[in-house]
Amino acid sequence: MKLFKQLAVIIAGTVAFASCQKHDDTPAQPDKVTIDITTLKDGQSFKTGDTLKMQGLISYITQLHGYEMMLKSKSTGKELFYYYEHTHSDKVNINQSWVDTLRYTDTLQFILTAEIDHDGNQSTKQFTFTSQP
Amino acid sequence: MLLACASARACDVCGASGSSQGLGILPQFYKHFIGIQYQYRSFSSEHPGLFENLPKERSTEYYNTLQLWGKANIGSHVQLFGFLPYQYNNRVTDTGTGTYNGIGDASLLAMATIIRTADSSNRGIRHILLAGGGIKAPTGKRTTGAGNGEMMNIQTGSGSWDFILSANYTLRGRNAGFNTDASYTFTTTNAANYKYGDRLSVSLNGFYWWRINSFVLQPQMGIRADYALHDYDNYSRKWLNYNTGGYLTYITAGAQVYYKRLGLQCSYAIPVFQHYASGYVEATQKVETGLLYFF
Repeated sequence: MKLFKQLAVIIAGTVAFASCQKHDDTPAQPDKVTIDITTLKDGQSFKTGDTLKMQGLISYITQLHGYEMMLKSKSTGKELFYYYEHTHSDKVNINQSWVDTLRYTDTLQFILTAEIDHDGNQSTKQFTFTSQP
Repeated sequence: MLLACASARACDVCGASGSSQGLGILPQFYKHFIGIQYQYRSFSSEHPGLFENLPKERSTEYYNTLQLWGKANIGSHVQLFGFLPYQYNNRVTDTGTGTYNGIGDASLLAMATIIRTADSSNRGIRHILLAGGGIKAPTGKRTTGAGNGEMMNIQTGSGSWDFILSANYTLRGRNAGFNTDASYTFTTTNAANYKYGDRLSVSLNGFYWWRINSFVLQPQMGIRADYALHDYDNYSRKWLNYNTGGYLTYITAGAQVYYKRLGLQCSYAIPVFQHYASGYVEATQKVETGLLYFF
């Protein structure tokens, strides 16, 4: 009986010890998110057939949960490109592209949103471009 | 116009990582055995949309494990168990199927006999308590992207060295008995600094047996509980992943049949209480079957 009590104490102690899991409790700070798109500049112009390269790095002081990139026509609001990725890192490389197939002059809006968590903490970077046939 | 679409290559709530290795009811009438075991488990998973505008991601995970295992008695007090699994895991989503297959993580357990009713005893009730520990080696195959949260729970191996504590107790009367089995797995980080949560498994089974000529039939029924701590996406940074870990409790029913040196085992389990991956993962069923050869 003594042996069973000892075993029960060992199991209970092990579970209690292991249940206290340390965790990073850094509060969400969207202003600490850095979005560095090296291949795009605000106000850039593109022509039909050009490739719009979206390359760069998103970094944060702790773990990011994901990001989305959207390119849309400012005049119609139509989505031309959309991409999202679920990640688990403090540094996320971006490498996507879109070929301009528009046959009319339009103003394009590029929005990159980095998400810190599922509670709506996020950071956004926007660019405006011109597309000309 | 080109509309490039979404990509979600990481999923932290898909399926449940490796179940702990239980020994169950072990016949002690031969010193050694070698066996092959097949286990099937399935889970349905749901991941909240990354952004508000995105739908929930749903998937079903199927785990198939074919395992070679065996026992060898070393002297009269130590029993050595070895396990070598082969995994064939599938993840089915609305957009496709991902298959992860290959050798899993091999493990070795050394169990000491702590209590055993002497063979010469005339008492009607006999019992045996085994306790010991072991190690699980990172022999399993992993995809190259594993380590950044990519499908961590469906890989064929954890990539880590883990340590196991185990105890197994059986009490037998004339034709009936019960067995309880407990194991705790202490996990370590893998090369990507990912750490699967420690796991505790406990089972309690009642059994009965009949001898009919050279056959022994042993039906059994019981309950099994698996409890897993949360995983760490990055252990050194203490990035705890709350969408992992939890508990699964199964009701199990099965039977063992023995004929001379051969044994056949099968069992079916359905979950009765569960809260896994913050409720995003649901276990559906588990089936096990195996053949043993005693010598």
